Parts: sequence; C-alpha cells; structure tokens
Amino acid sequence: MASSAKEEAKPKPRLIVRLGVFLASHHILFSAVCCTAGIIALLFLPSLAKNTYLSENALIPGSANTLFSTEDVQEANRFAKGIEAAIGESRGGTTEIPKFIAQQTKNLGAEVYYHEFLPDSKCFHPLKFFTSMTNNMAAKPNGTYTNFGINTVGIIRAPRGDGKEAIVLVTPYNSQKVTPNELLSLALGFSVFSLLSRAAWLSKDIVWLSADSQFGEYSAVSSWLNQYHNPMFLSHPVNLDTKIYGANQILYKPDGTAEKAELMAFKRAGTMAAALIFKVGETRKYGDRDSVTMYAEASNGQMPNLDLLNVVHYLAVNRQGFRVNVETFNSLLSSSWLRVIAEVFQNLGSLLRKINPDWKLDVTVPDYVEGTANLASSMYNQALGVPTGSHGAFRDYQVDAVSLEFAPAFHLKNENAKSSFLLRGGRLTEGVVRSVNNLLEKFHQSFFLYFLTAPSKFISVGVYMIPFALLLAPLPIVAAALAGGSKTKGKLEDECKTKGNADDLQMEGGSWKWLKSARVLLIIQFWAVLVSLLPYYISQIPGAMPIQYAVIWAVLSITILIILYAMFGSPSRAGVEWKLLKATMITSITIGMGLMSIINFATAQLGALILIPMCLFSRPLRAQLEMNFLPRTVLLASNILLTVLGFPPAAFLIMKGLSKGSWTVDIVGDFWLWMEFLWEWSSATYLYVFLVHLPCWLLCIHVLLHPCYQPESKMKQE
Amino acid sequence: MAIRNFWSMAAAAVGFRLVLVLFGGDLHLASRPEVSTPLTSIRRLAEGYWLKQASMSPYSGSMYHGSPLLLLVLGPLTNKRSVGHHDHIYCSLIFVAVDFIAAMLIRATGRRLQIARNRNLKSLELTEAVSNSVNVSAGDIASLIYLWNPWAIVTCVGSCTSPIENLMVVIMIYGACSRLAPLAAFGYVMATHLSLYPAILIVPIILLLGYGPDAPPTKVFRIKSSSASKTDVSDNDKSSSSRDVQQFLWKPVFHFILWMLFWTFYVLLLSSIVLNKVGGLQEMFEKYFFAEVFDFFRSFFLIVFNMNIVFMVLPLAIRLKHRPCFLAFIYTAIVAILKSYPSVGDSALYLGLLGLFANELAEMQFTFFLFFGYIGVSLLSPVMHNLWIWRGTGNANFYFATGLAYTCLQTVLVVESVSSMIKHDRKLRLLVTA
Repeated sequence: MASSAKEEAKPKPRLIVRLGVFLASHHILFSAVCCTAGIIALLFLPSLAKNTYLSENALIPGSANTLFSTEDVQEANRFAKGIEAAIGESRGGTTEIPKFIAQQTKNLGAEVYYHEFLPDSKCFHPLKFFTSMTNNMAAKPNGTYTNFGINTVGIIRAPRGDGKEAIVLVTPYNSQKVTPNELLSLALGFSVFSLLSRAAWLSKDIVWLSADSQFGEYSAVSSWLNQYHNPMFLSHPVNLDTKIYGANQILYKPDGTAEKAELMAFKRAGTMAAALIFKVGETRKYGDRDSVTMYAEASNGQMPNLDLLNVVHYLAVNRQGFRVNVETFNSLLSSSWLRVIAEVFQNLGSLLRKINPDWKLDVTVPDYVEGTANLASSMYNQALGVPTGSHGAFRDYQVDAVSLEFAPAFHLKNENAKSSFLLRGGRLTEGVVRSVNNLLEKFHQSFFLYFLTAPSKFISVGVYMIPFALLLAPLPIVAAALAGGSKTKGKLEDECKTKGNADDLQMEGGSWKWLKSARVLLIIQFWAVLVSLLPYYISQIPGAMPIQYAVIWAVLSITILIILYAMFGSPSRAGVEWKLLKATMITSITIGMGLMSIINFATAQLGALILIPMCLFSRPLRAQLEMNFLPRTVLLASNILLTVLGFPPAAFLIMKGLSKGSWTVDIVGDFWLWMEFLWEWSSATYLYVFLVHLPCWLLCIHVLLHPCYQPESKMKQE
Repeated sequence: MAIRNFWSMAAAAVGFRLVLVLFGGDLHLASRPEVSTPLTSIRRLAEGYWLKQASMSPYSGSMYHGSPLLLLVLGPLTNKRSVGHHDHIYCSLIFVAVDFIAAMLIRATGRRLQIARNRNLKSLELTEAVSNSVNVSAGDIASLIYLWNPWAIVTCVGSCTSPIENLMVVIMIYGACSRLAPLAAFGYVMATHLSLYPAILIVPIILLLGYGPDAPPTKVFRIKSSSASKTDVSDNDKSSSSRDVQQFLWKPVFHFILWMLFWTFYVLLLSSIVLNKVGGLQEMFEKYFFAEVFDFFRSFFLIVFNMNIVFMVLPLAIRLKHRPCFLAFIYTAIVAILKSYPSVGDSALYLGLLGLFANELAEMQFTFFLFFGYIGVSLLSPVMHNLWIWRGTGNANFYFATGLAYTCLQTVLVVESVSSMIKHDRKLRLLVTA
C-alpha cells in the first residue's frame, strides 16, 4: 500500500536521464545512424578544407628584399665544381667531400666540426615514443667500425643574437655515390650558408648540417640530434669514439692533432627554432615549372606547426614561382568511383548552398578528387606513424621541421636553367630563414594537428574530429544499454520482491555480474600484450626468412592463447552473458580508441572505420536464428565481412593482394616485414594493432560464437 | 566462503612485485607525478638524507618535506647501491614486505568484521535470508584487491613512501577493530605523523573502540527486541535482549587516549632527537606540513583546502556511526580525493578497504562504469602527460582534465558506496520488520 503510493508520487526523472534511457532503448537505430553519419562526414572532409593563413604576425614573409644574388649562384657553381674535383681526386674514398666542405665552410669564417656516427641497428622498441628520448649510444656493442658516416656541421654565430636559438639547415647527400642532384643541393646549401655568414640581420645562429645519408637520411640526422640534445657525461671516455676515429686517420693530417681536436669537438648553438631540410630530387617533367614537394609528417602523426608550411608555401608560390606539391595517392586521382562520389558531393554541396548561401561546401569534381587523394595520403602517412623524411627526427625533440624536395624541370646540364633554379631556390631558403629569424617565440600560434588536402588547404583538428566523434558516440550508449539491459531484469525482480514479501529476498550481487566478462577481457588483453612482445624474442633467431618468422609468431600466439584458456578457463565455458561480453568489448574499445586518438589521431580514425561497425553490429550467430530472414542475412553477411576485414593480417593480405594483383604466400612474410617496419620506427600504430585492434577482434569472435545458453535464473523462473 | 588458492594468489602477487623490483630494470616509475609526489618521493628522501649527512638541515630548502623518522629509518638504505639493479632497491624490497604486511592486516580486519557480521545477523535471525546468498570472505577479497591492485604494485615498485603511510592506517584500523588500544594508538600517531590527513580517522577509531566493529543500526536491534518482547510477554527478557545493542565502552577509548599520548611523546622525542642534529622542531612544523602556494594567500588557501575535508567529517560520522569501519574507509577515500599532492598510493589504500565491504556493497550501482572509468583514467594520465611534456602539442590543461575526471570517478564511488550501504541497512530493517 505504502509502496504503491510512493510509486505514484515518484517524480519524473530528469530530462537528461530520460534522454539517456530513450537513446539506450533505441541503441541499434542510433548506432546505425551515427556510423553512417560518421562515414558521410569523413567523405565531406575535402569540401570542408579551409585555406591556410599565417597566424604568427612576427613571420612577415617576403617583407624584405632578398639578398641572394647571381654572385651567390656563381659561388654555388664554384663549390659544385670544387666537390667534383675532390671526388675525382679521391677515387672512391669517402672522406674527401666532408673535408672539402669543412675547408670551404672554414674559409667563410664559420665554426665547423665533423660528427661521426654509426648506422642504427634494428631494435625492437615499440614503446620508445612514450618515454623520453634516451641516449641510445651506450647500448651499442663494442668493436671497431670501419663503416661509419661523417656529418659535416657548420655554425654561424649570429651577430645580433645571444646564441640561445638556432635555425638548422640540412642538406643530405650520399657520400658513397654523389649524384648531380645531390651536388646541386649541396651547392645550394653552401651558397645560402655563405650568404648568411655575411648577413648583418641574423639574430639566431645558423647551423648547416650536410648529412651523410649513406645509411639513410634519417639515421644521420637523428644521431646528430641525439648527440646535440644528450650530452654525454661519462666518467670514462667512450671507447667507441676512439675506435671509430682510430680506424680513420685519413681525415686529419697526421701531425695536426690540435686541428683534429678542434674538428672533432661537438659544438652546439642554442635551442632550435626550426629546421629546413632541402634536397634536389630527380627531374620530373621537362618544360613545366620547377616544383617543390613538402614533406611534413613526423613519427606518430605529429606535424610541424602549420605556420612553417605556410611560410614555405607563400614564399615558394608568390615570390619564387615554384609549384608546391604535397604527397598524394596517384591511383586515386584517376579512379572512376571517386569521380562518382565527387559528383554526388558537388550536387549535394550546391543543393546545400541553395538552402543557405553561407555554406560553401560545393567543390568542383577535380578539386574534390585531388583533395581526397592528398587527404588520403596525408592520413595514411600520419596513421602509419613513420616519418616521411629526416624532419621526423627533429619533431622528436619538439623542433618544427619540414623537408623540401625540389624537382627541377630542366636537364641538369642546362647551365642557364640551373642558375635560375639556384637563384630562386636560394632566395626561397633565405626568405624562410629570414622569417624564422624574426620569431620571438617558438612556433605556437598555428595548428599542430591538421591534415593537408592541398599545399594551401588544411583541415584542422576541430573539423576532422567530427567523423571520429560520430563513430565513437554510439559506443557508450550501446555499452550502457547492454550492461543495463542485463541488469534491469534483476532489478525488477528485486523491486517486486521488496514490494511483496521480503522474506526470501535474495541478493544476487547483480551489479557485479560483469566481473566475469571483465576477467575474459583481462585474459585476452594479457594475451595481446604477450603477442605484441613476441617479435622481440622471435627476431633474435638468426637467418630465417620473414615467412618463417611470421609462421613462428602465429603458432606461438595460438599456443599461448590455448595455454591461457586452459589455465583460466575459456570464455565460452565461463558462462558469461553475451550482452555483458559485448558491453565489455565496447567499453574497452571506447577506452582504446580514445587513447589512440590522442596519441595518433589518424590511426584511430582509420581503425575506427573497421573496428566500430564490427563491434556494434556483432551478435551471436545463434541469437540471430530468432530473427527474420532479411535482417538475418544482412547481419550475417556484415558480421562475417567485418570480422574478416578486422583481422589485421587478413586486412593486410587483402590490401596487398588487391594492390599487387597476385595472391602468393609471400604476403604472410610481407606482413612480418610490415610489422618490423612499424616497430623499428617505434610507431604507436604497432601498439594499436596489437593492444586495441587484435583483442577486440578476438572478443568479437567470442561474441559471434557465443553458445547463448539460457541463463539459469530465467529457466527457473519459467 | 573462503577464496580458494588465497595463499597462492597472494604469493604470486608478492612474487610479481619482487620480479618487478629485481628484474624490472629502471621503469622510471619514481619520476611519474601520479606515483610519487613531493611528499612521498624517495628520491627527495635520499637527497634529504644526503643533506643531513652533510650536516645541513634537510628542511631548509624545498627539497624534503617528509617525516624525520623516515629519514632516520630509510635514509641509510638510500645510500646503498647494488650493481645491476636500480638505485633504491633496498627500499623497494622493504616496501614489498610492507605491502604484504598491510594486506595480511586487511585480511585479519576482514575476519573480525566477518565474525561481527555473522554474530549480528544471528542475533537478528537473518542469517538464512542474507548470509546464504552473498557470503564471501571479505577479508580475503580485500587483501587480494590490495595485493593485485595495479596502483598498489606501481606504488610499491615505484619507490615512494606511500606504502608505509598506508600500512600505518591499516595498523590503526586493525588495532581498533580488534580493540588493541596500544596498536591502534601507535598506528594513529604514526599515520598522523607521516601525513597529517589520517588525523580525522580519530572519529571512526573511537567509535570502533567504543562500540565494536560494524553492525546494523541500533534501531534494527531495538525493533527486533520490541517485536521479540511482543511475542514474549514476560518482561524479564527485555533486559537480556537490549543487551544485544552495543553500549559505548569508555574503557578502551580511555586506554587509546593514554597510549596515544604516550606514542605522541615518544615520536616527538625521536623526531626531536633527529631534529637536534638537523634543525629545530619549529622548522619541521613550518616546512613539513604545508604545501607551497602563493605567499599572500597561503594561510587562506590552506584553510579552504583542508576545510573541505573537515566539513565532511561530522555529517558522515552521524549518519554512519553504527559502521565505524566503513566510516574509516569513506574518510580515507575523501582524504585521497581532497588532499594536497594526491597519488595513486592513496587510492590503492581505499580500494583495498573497499573490498572489506564486499557483502554489504553487493548491490552497488555503476560498478561497471567505475571499473572501466578507473582503467581509462589510469591509462589516459600518462598519455596526456606525454602529450604535454614530451610532445608539446598539448598543455597542462589536458593533464588537469584527466585529474578532474579522476576526481569525478572517486566522488561517484564514494557517493554510490555510501548510498548502497544505507540501502543495505534499510533492507535489513525491512527484513526484520517483515
């Protein structure tokens, strides 16, 4: 009696609670709508790109007249000839070029030294991105090395500066085999450097690093940066260094020990404000304008501040008449299905514009296609988490850096065209240095998180988050609906019992029922951690083929899974309700996706496209039997398709097979190589694949194959 | 219903800690802000010890804020190095032992609570109704939670002094539960000396000593006795049944206060002996208790900051006076939320104590959300820290937001556990009246 009165007087729950309950009760519809909306929003991104603009006023690019003149071009030509002569003299020796560069740099009145380094050994360090940049010189084995690279570093002390900041210019070249392109980029670097050594306006030191790229540009630059930022204070002098130097006396005159010490002493300028890596690439198209390609993606999707790219783009296009490119997927440019989508979006955009003229969403078909190709490449490079060039090494030390690859449109023997190219390239570099020189603070005004759809168009974090947020939105609702759904039944029982007779009131601990499914989740996560660590041990086995490694990996993973199930009980026998299992899975990927979107957004975005539909629409195959024919087949097909796509090796296999057109067993080995590539570059994508994606896929399989026994309590009740 | 394999699981937990300490290499846990705070950092302790050895006051700078006793006990160990292990290996080994002792004391406390609970339910004649459905060995669960809690493991391996503070709190609660006044007083004095905040635990300790361990509200007993007396008309029984209702015993409380005074003097004496070497007592009170804030508002901030904790003490004590042990748990949780320089070690303590009430809190809501929330927050925090410190694309607000989310979770935990405990009591009353 009293309780019924209480029920009548019970106030309506608050609006937000009612809204939550409403959403939870329609969670299937809600998640379908959200997923579709997320994918549509993703396709809309190219139309939403904005034009770039300079945020930092101090940069004022192009405000001063450039000083780089034909005299500097002559200097560059002289330098190039000098190097050619030096190469001719040396006949295969690698030390002549550094020697020549050092000599020339010294003649300019700059400080100069050699930095010698060893190639990076392949290491398994998937968590390196997460910790500080530790000094990994000490980890290298002892021994004498004859094979090492020599970077030549020149430093100009700024006449107006206090030596606390520096701008770094990098010109990579391969000391083993210098091509005419590299010669040109060295000449360009030297001529800019020589101009800057005479500049009175300089307020930041200039460091010119001619990086020996015989082991790859990245390792040369990163080892120099490592030593720059991690001074070694060792109680005993490093044997390693003496051994390297002992092996190579050619660099120094036998008697010039003082000079040697001076050339070997590691010198530093201040903190780096920005770094510019430039190199002259192959001639691409004859007769067209010279072009510059900007590479900006550093490790784990980190980008330099957009202002740096803006300065480069502005000066290159508006002052020096270069054509600026960003990396693109060429295959997308010619694909017909993309063209169809582009037309749909153009029509949609113009329709929207009719509704509200302020919505400028209509882009022309070619623009959309090009934007999509650039965006896809930008996203892919960020998602991979592997730097696209040596600028990535700078970003690890929070230095904004960009690589410029010049593609001349003339034959390199054409002296006139070469001079004009050197003039404009030199002016561009000088202009960028001048702008950065004006900065009073670190780059901070503009965006760090963005995708590029064109060299002058970007999508900022606020926009590109929308599709991801839409994909992620249904997850908590569905988890709440599933976790709540299995609870409400118990609660109702409780209520009716308290209402009636409290004699046989039972506390089932209903709210702790999820503990079992959490246990399953923990076991599977533990398994995933083990699987992700296995390659460290497997890669110690010497001299096996990639395919053998891959097979060992797979076999060990499966064995470990079986052992774990034997130890802790397999989930199918644990008697976990599938709804709770699914709720746990969804919660775990909400956490995983949320974390990954902070570490590397692009990975999370691409992963979400497969993973989230796979999780949301998974339903035990037995439970599907109760449904009607049409929804059942649709659900079954989508479940199977998504599950196959969701398995990382399978997805890789299909992608490779489609792109190559051949389906051989080598693809398994390729998967190993791909994974090796990821962990060597300490990409967080590796961790994502094994700690978020794989366990989620396994849980999804468990949900699909769930036996769906009737819960005992329900049976009793009936 | 005791947990099978309790000992093997406990041993595995200790073994896991030992493996991490001995072979884990340098995990850089000691430099994590979540693990070691300026008050508990063992690196600062080592620095303080070094200053002391150099006959300088460790309190004269802003390096060391901890207790002089810890300096005396742990200081010499920080000097010893062992090749191939990380710097503070001996301290870490001590912390492993300390964690194990704390877990065992939690288990013993759980046993006491269990006995009291069974007795009370028997006297209310509810054993069948309540006990048969949910009756797990809460002590085992609590000590396993404490041993296997990742945060406790991280705190233990990450070499900070929180395990010792936690041990003192556990000693105090155990002593009070088993009415060992000297032990309780020792724990209380030491815990207060080490971090001051456990001072508010005096309320549950006195209640525990006076009334004994947790019991259903006195009202329930009274209803029971009145209904019993209705059936038995004879008035003779009334006196006997009213004996079920616990009377406040002044004797243990009195003992506790005497012992507390004794221990206080002893600790102060010890500290001042240390301090005679290193500086005045005055200085210790100046430097050691107070967090550093802006000079102008220092006192204002201190009052506001710590008042928040004190505000909660009285209302909770009135509402939950029949469950002093639970009250102690709530107080430690509130302290962990509101203290200056919180760390995961504080949370490890109250999460361990939470396990003691596994039977009563079986109906708690939002546990799924809380569990995954805790996991999410503890993973989010290092990521945000990385974004802020190492990558420079985030800023301090990112990290601060994680802290806010964490506090929200803790608040939900406290609110939910109190409300479900009250619900449990109400349910008992309904069962008795029915």
